[in-house]
Amino acid sequence: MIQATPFPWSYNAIAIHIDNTSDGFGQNRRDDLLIDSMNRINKAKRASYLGLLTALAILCGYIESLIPFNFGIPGMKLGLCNVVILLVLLLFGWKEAALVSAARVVVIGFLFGNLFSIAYSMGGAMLSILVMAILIRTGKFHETGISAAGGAAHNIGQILVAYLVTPQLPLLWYLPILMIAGLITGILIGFAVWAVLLRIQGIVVQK
Amino acid sequence: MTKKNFGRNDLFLILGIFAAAVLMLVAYSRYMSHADTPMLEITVDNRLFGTYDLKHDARIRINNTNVCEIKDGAVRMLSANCPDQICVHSLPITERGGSIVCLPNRVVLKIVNTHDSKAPSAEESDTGGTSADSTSSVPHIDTLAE
Repeated sequence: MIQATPFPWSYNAIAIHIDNTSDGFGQNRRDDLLIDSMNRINKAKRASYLGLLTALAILCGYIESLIPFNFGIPGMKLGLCNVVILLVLLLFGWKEAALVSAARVVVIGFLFGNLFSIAYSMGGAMLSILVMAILIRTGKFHETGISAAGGAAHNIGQILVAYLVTPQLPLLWYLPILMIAGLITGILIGFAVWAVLLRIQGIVVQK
Repeated sequence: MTKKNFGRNDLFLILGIFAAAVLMLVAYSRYMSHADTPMLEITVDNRLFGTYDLKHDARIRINNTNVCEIKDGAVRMLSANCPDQICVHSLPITERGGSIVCLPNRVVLKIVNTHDSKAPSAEESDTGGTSADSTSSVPHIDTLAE
């Protein structure tokens, strides 16, 4: 068992216990340790974690703005931010995930989009968190499936908001295409989340 | 929490959503294929700007902000003065349905299903373009050819 010794000048050290019973392929997942410790950290630590993760989500939005992914269909994008959002959802809870998501939607909207894009993204992000939180609660799905459903829900939410703004029937033509795109990107994002969880399982955050 | 491995439940979930999307596609294209004449309808700020037949090639200037083109049965947005240019880079829409939206200028180009036998001709814009059977070169704001 490997244990990192704390630095002498830090009083809240992170002790990393790497459990040698897990084989790294999902057989003995120790996420419960990680999540349990995350639930018990104090408010200041939680605030700094969430701030860091929000900044990471905004960074993902910047990377997305560099990669033209939409193939001519408005509203299609990579959904990189959802790696962070799903991780926050798994490690902290739906309230924290909603907060981080709302913050990143507003900031990314101001930086790279317009006012309408904030409304669409907010609707999509909230529906996506709702769907993902419900699926996580059932405990029956893997991150990949949850992320795929979340990605599809994100696009459904965007189209719903767009329909509320301008009730035009041909918007519904975009809905199935965007749903399928959301599914595919969601599966890939889910693999990324699985890879992250695999590598941080068993980490215990103290205090 | 989440399951350890990708399992049957996830497959069902993904395939279920995929099947729902395919159903929607099929339903929408069946609805559109029952049209007598699919027409391009342009609305600006939710007010009708004009209705054009897809069979006549035309280049249409909308309110000095957007220019769209009907060519070979497909509609494209040629140019727009909006900063994000999403409409210009959108896929062209055909008689199968769909829409191109320019949000900053509130211009919506959509293909609608008209079951009546009205056949308006495309109007010629003052920028020229391929000729259609336009009756007169009046500005768009005033008339709608019947």
